[in-house]
Amino acid sequence: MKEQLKTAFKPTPDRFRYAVEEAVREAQAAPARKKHLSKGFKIALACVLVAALIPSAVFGATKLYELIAKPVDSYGLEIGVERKEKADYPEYVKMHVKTPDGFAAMSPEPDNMKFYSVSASEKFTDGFSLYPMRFYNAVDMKEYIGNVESVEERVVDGHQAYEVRMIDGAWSRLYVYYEDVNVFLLIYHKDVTDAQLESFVKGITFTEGTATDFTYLDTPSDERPKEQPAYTYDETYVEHPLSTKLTFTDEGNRYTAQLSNVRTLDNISDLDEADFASAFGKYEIADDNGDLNPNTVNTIKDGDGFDSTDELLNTEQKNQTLVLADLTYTNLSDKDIELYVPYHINVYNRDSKGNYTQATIVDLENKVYMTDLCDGELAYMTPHGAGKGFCILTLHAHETLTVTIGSRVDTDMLDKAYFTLYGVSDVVDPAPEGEGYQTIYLFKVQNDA
Amino acid sequence: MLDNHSFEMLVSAQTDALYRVSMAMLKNEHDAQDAVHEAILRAFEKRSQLRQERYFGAWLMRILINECKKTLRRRRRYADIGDALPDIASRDNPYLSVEIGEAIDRLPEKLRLTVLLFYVEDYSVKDISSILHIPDGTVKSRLNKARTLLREALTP
Repeated sequence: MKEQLKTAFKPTPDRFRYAVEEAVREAQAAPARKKHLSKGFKIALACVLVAALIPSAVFGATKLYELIAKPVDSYGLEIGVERKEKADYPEYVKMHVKTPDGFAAMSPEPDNMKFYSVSASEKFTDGFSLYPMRFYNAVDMKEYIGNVESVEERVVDGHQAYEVRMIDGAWSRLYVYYEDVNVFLLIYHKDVTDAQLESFVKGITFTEGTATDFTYLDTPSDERPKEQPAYTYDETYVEHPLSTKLTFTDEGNRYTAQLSNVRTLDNISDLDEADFASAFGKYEIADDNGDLNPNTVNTIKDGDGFDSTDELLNTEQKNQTLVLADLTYTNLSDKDIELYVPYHINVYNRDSKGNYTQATIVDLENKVYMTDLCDGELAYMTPHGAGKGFCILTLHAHETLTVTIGSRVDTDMLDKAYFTLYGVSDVVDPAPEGEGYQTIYLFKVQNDA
Repeated sequence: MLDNHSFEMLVSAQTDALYRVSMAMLKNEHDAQDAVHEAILRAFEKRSQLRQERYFGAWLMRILINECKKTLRRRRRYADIGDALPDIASRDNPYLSVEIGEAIDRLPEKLRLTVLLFYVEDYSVKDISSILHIPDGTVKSRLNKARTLLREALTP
């Protein structure tokens, strides 16, 4: 049966792959709404060996271009090409890559050249991926790279190359210049030996392509990344008193939900282990005595990768509190409803004008953020969806059902904690219908009074 | 925290799984692309919450399934105003074999998803338990039930 099912699906269409790649690009281009930055940091001065130190003979006698790397500020690097003679290279090229021993290709797509170690437990935690580029005509184009730990000029398989190691253990980059075809090949690599890298590069060749059969060559990111504007989702926060009764619909059937009886626990020894979500096991979030484990929170100042890198300002252990509340559902219809419990807790700052911002932002102007603050996901629920999803219950016709829900919050953030509900077009009353999940419903955990 | 390239690599490795799971749940490529798009944005935004890179696949799958559920709930809401749900005969059919496709599609959603994660995406019972927030025993019983139904459907 396994083989029957495994071969039951059509290959993923290229348009779908493209849509996934676009989504990744969009995600990476957008400044984070809730900024989480890398934990530690280490700094090393970039060390550049100028190309002049390498004998030009190793690149061949008819050298047209030369790759030049220069440091930019304290942690950045620019790599560009200096033209020596008139350019003469094929307009279209075709890249061929031999799959290295011990590695597998991501997909048979010829332009999707990513290789992972077959011995790795997960795909793409190591290996190689290729990003071919060209400095079209303008030889003053440059590739800008931030967060550089070190750079070293190398000769790999007879080609001029720069090995760039990044701060915080990100994938290393090997820039290899194929001057006869004017291709600037970026090879990302992780957890591979020098010998494997050398062997991989030896398996890369270029032939002349045609207008219909060629390898797409991108252009380098030729501008130093600019300061990114503060990113805001088009979200509307709507706060209601805790006792507000919301009305939902499900396939036309209506039901109501109301929060009440909020209380907190620092010790969960009296709670049944079976009522914790599998991702938050009772003895994963608490010690053997039932005392909740502390949460490690880092405060980090965001660096731009050129003048500065991420700076760890503070690390602290934050005590956790489990916030419990009763949630009473009433089915107003004649039919059973499969109920999804969508509540979790988030922490927000509310200014005097009633605007909400994530409490993880310490100082927006100076880009100081807290990371890993308040998990807030539904960790505890009783009754829960036995035999169904943890958060899915059956609400019988005209039944009233009370569910106890629980989420962890950093104890010192309790006064900023809100039960949060992303409007998913189900809430129809009392808030007006909006654009689905763009409306966020908030119910303050602690009464200000 | 995952850097941009690592994130891209890990998502790339999941592309086929994202396609199969979203299509099996939503049966419509447009909706599937939207759900995957939203799941990737959310995953990138929340990537600091992923403690270990090796759980990325299961973690992203859980986010995707939540996004698919949201889409399904939106659809249910509008179903009564005439939006017909696509069926196996639609142009977005993701299956090579109509016979197997119909057998998979006829499974209740919970069984379909469990079968897909176990047999096609190679997740373990424990992983599926974590992805779907259900006990290990429920995963096993769903697989057992689905096997029976599929066997009945596919036996000539």
